[in-house]
Amino acid sequence: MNKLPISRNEGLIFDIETIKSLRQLGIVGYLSGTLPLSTQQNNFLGVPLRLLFEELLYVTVHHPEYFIVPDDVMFQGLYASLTDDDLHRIRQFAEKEHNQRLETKRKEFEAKMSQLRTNGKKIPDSAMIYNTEKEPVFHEIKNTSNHIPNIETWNDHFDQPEVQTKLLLQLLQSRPNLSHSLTDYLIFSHLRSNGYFITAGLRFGGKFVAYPGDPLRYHSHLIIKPVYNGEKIELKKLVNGGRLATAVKKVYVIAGLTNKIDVDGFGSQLQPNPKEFIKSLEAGPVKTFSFEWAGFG
Amino acid sequence: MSLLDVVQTNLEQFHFWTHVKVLDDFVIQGYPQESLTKNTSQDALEFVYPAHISQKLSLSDIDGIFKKLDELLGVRPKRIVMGIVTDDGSVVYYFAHEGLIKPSKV
Repeated sequence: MNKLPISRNEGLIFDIETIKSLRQLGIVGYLSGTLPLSTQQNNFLGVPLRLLFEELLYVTVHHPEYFIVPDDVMFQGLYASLTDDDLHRIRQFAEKEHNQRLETKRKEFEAKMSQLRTNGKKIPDSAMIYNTEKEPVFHEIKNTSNHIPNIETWNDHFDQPEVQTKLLLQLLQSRPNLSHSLTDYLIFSHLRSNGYFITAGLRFGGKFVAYPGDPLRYHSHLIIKPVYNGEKIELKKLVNGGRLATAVKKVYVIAGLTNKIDVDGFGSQLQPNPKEFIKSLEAGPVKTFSFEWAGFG
Repeated sequence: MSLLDVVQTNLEQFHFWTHVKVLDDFVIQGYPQESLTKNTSQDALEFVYPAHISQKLSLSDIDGIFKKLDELLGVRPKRIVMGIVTDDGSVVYYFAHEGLIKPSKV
């Protein structure tokens, strides 16, 4: 539950419960199992559920209870990016967990002993003290050392915020055009916050298709065409898109940011806390215009 | 003939709009023969922005059209009509709404 496994920089989810809980958040994804080549049958396909990059980013930014689990390649990148400080902190975290387990065990022990005393059993004071040697606490020893970069031994640490930050940065850096990806994401997030469910939109010649509710219950309303960095859109494309959209009872929407995103500035701005930085971008306005055929001419 | 003239003539002669006139040399206003959508009243004044098919518009260009109409009319319209002209003389008309809308029911 709550794990978002990555495979080749793409969210690939096999766990049905996770798929279900994501759906409740309005994250639809698309099923790609079994017959990935005959995608016209995509209503009949099975797991894994592939997430759009925007969906993956949306879940990690807005729902911190979900966390990215890297694949082997991504893990190597993660390990390479960790400093001694990070490693130290992660080991401390493991230690803390052990201590917590110890503490619970000690409380249980003390409660048990004082119960025995109240029941009239005579117990010397020395026996009231919790002794780890007599009452051992479970401590897992891994088969491989966590000094060696091995994904198995790291499984327990992926949900830590520091690790998540690094993984998220890796994901962002894997995008061929980060500025476009972020524009797409901000449009996605704008639509999502307006209650729309979003799927990929290539079928209708856009980037996204937006539904007023779950795609299994509604027909889509909007075909979304992003406009990047204040670029101009050809009127021919508007006529094309508008006519097609109207023919299939939809609206052709062009969407973009009013503030230009500065790509070069990203590296440093993203670095300390990519989630907060992305959230701050979301506060900026997304401009949308909807096009329809006017019914004459 | 300028784009304004082409669209004005098309509206008057082909679609039988009435009281058609050019506003501030950039947009055409007039009354269609029948209301353009189910939700607009019969006597609603429509505004048509003429453009050539080869033109390119940015989001802020389109925003500018709304802004200028706002200045001229004192209210920002929710939607305008774009009259797109081709070289063969045909004119096609598209609604441009600000923001996200539901598809109109036909």
